Amino acid sequence: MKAENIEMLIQDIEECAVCLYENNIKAVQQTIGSVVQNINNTYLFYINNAKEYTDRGIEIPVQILLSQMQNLLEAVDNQDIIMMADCLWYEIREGLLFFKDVECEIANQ
Amino acid sequence: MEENNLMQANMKCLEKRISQIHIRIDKYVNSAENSEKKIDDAFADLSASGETIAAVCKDGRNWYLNSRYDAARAAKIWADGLGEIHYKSIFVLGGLSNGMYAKALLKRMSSENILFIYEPCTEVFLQMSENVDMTDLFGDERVFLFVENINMDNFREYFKAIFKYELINYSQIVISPGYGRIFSRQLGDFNELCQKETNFIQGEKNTLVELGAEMVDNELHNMWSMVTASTIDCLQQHFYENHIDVENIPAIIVSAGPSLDKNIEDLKAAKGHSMIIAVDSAIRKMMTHNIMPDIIITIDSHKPLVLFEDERIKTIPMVVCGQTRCEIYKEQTGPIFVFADNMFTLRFYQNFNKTISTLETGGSVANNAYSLARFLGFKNIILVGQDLAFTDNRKHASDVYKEKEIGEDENEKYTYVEDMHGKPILTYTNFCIYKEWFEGEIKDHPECNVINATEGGANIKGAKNMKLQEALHIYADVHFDNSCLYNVPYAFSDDELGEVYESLNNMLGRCDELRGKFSQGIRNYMRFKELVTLGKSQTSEFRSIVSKLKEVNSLNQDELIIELLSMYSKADEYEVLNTMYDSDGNDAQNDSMKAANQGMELLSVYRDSVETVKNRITELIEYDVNQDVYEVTTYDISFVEK
Repeated sequence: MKAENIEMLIQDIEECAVCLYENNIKAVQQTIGSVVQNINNTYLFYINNAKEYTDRGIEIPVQILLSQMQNLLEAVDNQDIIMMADCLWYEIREGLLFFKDVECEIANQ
Repeated sequence: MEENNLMQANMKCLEKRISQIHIRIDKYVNSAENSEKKIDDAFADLSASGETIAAVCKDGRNWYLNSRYDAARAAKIWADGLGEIHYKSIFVLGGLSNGMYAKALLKRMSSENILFIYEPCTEVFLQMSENVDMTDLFGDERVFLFVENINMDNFREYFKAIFKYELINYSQIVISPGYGRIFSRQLGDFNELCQKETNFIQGEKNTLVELGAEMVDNELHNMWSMVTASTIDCLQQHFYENHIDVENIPAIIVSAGPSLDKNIEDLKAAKGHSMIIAVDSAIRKMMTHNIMPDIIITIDSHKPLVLFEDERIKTIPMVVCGQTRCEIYKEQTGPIFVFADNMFTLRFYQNFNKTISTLETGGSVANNAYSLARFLGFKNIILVGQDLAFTDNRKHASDVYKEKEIGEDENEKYTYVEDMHGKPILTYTNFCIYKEWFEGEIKDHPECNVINATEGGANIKGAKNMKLQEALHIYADVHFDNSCLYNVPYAFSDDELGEVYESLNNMLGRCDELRGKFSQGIRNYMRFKELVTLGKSQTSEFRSIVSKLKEVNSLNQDELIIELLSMYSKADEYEVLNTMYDSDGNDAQNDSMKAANQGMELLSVYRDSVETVKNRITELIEYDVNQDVYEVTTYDISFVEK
């Protein structure tokens, strides 16, 4: 997965999280669906390819990723905007920053 | 209730802002129906950053009302997201949580902004008060806190006192994150309450704009009749000293709705067993049926005198205000009790250390009558003839008015509400406002038992519906002697009336002085503008001008006559005030010139009204006071048979 794509997703997530902290539901209504879908796709990519990354010496914390996805989906299901914002900023964003570093490292190899 | 140190400190701050806060909290905590929910539904937790945060358990799930990672950062993001804050804005915040959202907002606010905080969950308030130091928040003079089940009964009073019409456009309701999801019903109700109050302010403004000058005329015409009478406070005190059993004796408010035709005869059984308060429109019908109310209330300066034609009415005790039609005052031989319906009357009496209370209203005299019953302490209030709708396609009871039938030409004035059987019934939109006022009062004051014995018309939520006969059987099994409405002391003694007379004379001289001050103020504004244009705003002359302008602009806080000038020139005043606080924010010179122009306009409006108000005061002294002064010392009250 390309680092630039991950970077774009990180920016989308940051925007969503800020809007949620601002209680600006209207601003995220149009985009939250696609953002969650993109997060889902990205996380599933790394979970499904964890072994390949392990072979390259990069440990993908699958359980943590699954837990983060679960938190996000729970937040979305319950429309818990504070939980959504927290999950996006402090969990998913951190996860994606990790993936971006991984891809940069791989690109440099 | 045991208090920890934080709770004690928080409550000490709140004591100064919320009367009887401890009693209110104890009442809530001890009440049987709430004891199970006392603290269980809300709890305090710690964020990853070590902050105490708020959460509630609802429907088997924990909902956090603050970020679980960094609550302060989240609160700052929320507050910054509100955009530019006008220095005069009033914010209404739904959701106290742990106080962080409010604190973040306050950091961005000026000293002139106001923050109303509404907490829909009593348990959150109690939990956070026990676990978070909110003394800086609670002690901030810009903050007014309202908590469900604790002090919501004060909300409307504060809203009316603080929200000025010209500030409505600069004000907004904002919600703390998370609250919209969990407390949507409470916030929806609260939003509706704010809307209703705002509509009421709009309505008041429209009335003042249309009738402001007339109101000043009425006020001054009635002034001497008012000060030579008793106040509702005198009556309240008299009831207290004579141990009138207001806990058990019901007050019956008789209005002139169409359903009065059905049960008016039943009212005869109420005589001597309740205090019967008749609104002015109902009086004629009651006289036709030989039912003498114990007290009448009349407010409207346009009320047709035909309603008061029956000679017997003149002897019945009457509750009036500055706006009551002056011919009614003059004809009255029975006791008169006055209440304040505007700031001028309030402040006039206060100048003599006299208390004169107001009677809250939603716009209908029946609303005032209800407030009167509550003010006097009655705990059981029965409404009769309170249709607030077109029962059987009629607007009022027979023998009340010759009035226009329901017709298409008035379509824009009509709406539908629910009747007693849940079916839609046609009514005026104004009647709907009066009905909602009753509903708000019933909700805010559960200590009053309100029985709707109208037997028709709109359903008033919160009131018990029953037939009048049944209501009397249950509540009127007591004795009421209406002699307690007589021999009530006057507000002013004869000597004090002499001081009042002198005060009115002084007001004449003050009118001339004020005219001079306003003219000087206008000249100072012109010089102010010149100095700004010349770039001389750092000079000592400029500072001196600004100081003088501050002085003239603070006159309205100290000067009683300005209340009259303001009422008199309401339309012009609003035109200036509507744009008073507009600023493009970027051009200080432009803003200064604009402020100066508006200041000049306002002072011109007041200056132009001075002469008219002075003439009215002269008429008051020459025609009302001087004719009466001889009689003041020999005031003879004759009472009629009950």
